Amino acid sequence: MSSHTAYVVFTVFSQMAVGALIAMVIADFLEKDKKFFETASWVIVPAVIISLAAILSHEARPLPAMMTMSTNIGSSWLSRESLMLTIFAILAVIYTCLWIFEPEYGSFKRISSSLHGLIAKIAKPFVPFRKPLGIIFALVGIAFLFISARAYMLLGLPAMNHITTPLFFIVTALLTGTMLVAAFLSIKYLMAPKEYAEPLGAYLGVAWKVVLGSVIAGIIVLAGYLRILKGAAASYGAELAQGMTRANILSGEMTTIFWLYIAIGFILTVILVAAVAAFLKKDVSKAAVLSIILFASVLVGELMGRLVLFGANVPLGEVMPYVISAII
Amino acid sequence: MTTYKILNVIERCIDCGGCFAICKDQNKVPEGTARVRVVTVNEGRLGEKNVAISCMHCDNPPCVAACPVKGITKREDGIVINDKDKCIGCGYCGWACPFGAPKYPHDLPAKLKEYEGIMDKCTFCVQPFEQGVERDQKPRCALFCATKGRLGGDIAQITPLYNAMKAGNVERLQGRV
Repeated sequence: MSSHTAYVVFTVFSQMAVGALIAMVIADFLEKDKKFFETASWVIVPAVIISLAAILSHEARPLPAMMTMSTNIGSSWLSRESLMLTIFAILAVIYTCLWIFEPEYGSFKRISSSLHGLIAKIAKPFVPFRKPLGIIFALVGIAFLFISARAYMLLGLPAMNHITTPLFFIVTALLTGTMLVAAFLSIKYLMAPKEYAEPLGAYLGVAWKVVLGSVIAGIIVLAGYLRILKGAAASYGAELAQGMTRANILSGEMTTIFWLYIAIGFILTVILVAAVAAFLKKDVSKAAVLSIILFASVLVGELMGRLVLFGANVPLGEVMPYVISAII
Repeated sequence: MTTYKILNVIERCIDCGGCFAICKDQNKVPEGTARVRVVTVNEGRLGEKNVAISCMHCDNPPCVAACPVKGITKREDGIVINDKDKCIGCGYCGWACPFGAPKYPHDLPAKLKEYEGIMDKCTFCVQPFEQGVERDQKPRCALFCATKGRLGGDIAQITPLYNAMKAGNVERLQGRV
């Protein structure tokens, strides 16, 4: 996997996992059919695994990387990011267990009832605390988002060394996570429409508002990002690197992907959100089908957006010869 | 205390490629990668300059702080070196470095496959490409620079020479005039 692709997949899927955990916590508070929501708890851990596989695939030595990446916690934000991802992955597994090994409706019993019975006994005392634990785990996930963003906020990467980086990450988490859970719940609903219309309606009622809010936030962050790239920077070198990054986005190699990102990630997403909201009270099955399409739109849009963020980025090292020659 | 540095007198560089070639030869740097590169700015226009770029052995190296495996260290004599046995090839030092000095060679010959994607950079000639016993601190690029525009050595010794060159009176400093 190429370096850019690895970072794109890693960041989007790790953020999607955080967003999915947050969405599951919200679903837990809806006080509807928990058996229905339980299905979507399965999606968090695979998203983390995909992100881990992506980032390790780009390392020259993946196995030593797994063991040693958190060695320099004292000064390396990459080490801190790696440690936080490990912690979040463990918490995601625990949180998933609190759903799938729930003694009454935990779906793991369909895979192995004996193993389910065994682990359900261990999980049982903790299941009543799933909501507060979920909130704590979600807060750890949000902390991971900030630490992950900080890892890319380097002096050597002037275009990413701004507050817009963590804001992009939060928007991605909310958009993709909420819709990943929505898509899985919609699939489950489509398999038994009469049984699950009410809980799906309740979840989608929250989800479309979260997605719409996130899209609006995303547009504001993107506009702010392009404005920042145009403005003054800490040094002449940083200003040059930012200017070249902006040119790459608006009139360079990333322009086509950038406009596809706008078209799919924002315009199509808003149209689909409006359609989901409109159909929600009239026809839940149509809203369910649209939610699956909306998830695809959000995911493709965010992948393209991230490709632009990493692909257009001009590091300080590339412009430094021009800076040095001008000042000495 | 000795502190080793590299200084470039940009006005003197004629892009002969001597630093690049001698570095390749003396450090056995394989095809497809380089520890020093010469960048020409304003090519063919007024103010054309050639800038030799390599690791600057910074006083406070951002690569050392960024490395997640503590593979890069700054020695007491100021030289920044990378332990290729520890390096995992994450590329993070390449982002952190303001000069783009760290390189991650690919498509290496069979006997060098263990260094595929592993960071390599200027080590002040103390470490050739294949990590082994450390040698003396003699930056070959500076020793062999045809115009003496690249200076390498103890900062206390090369700074007066650099200042004199910038002022245009190097011959007087060297006692030739």
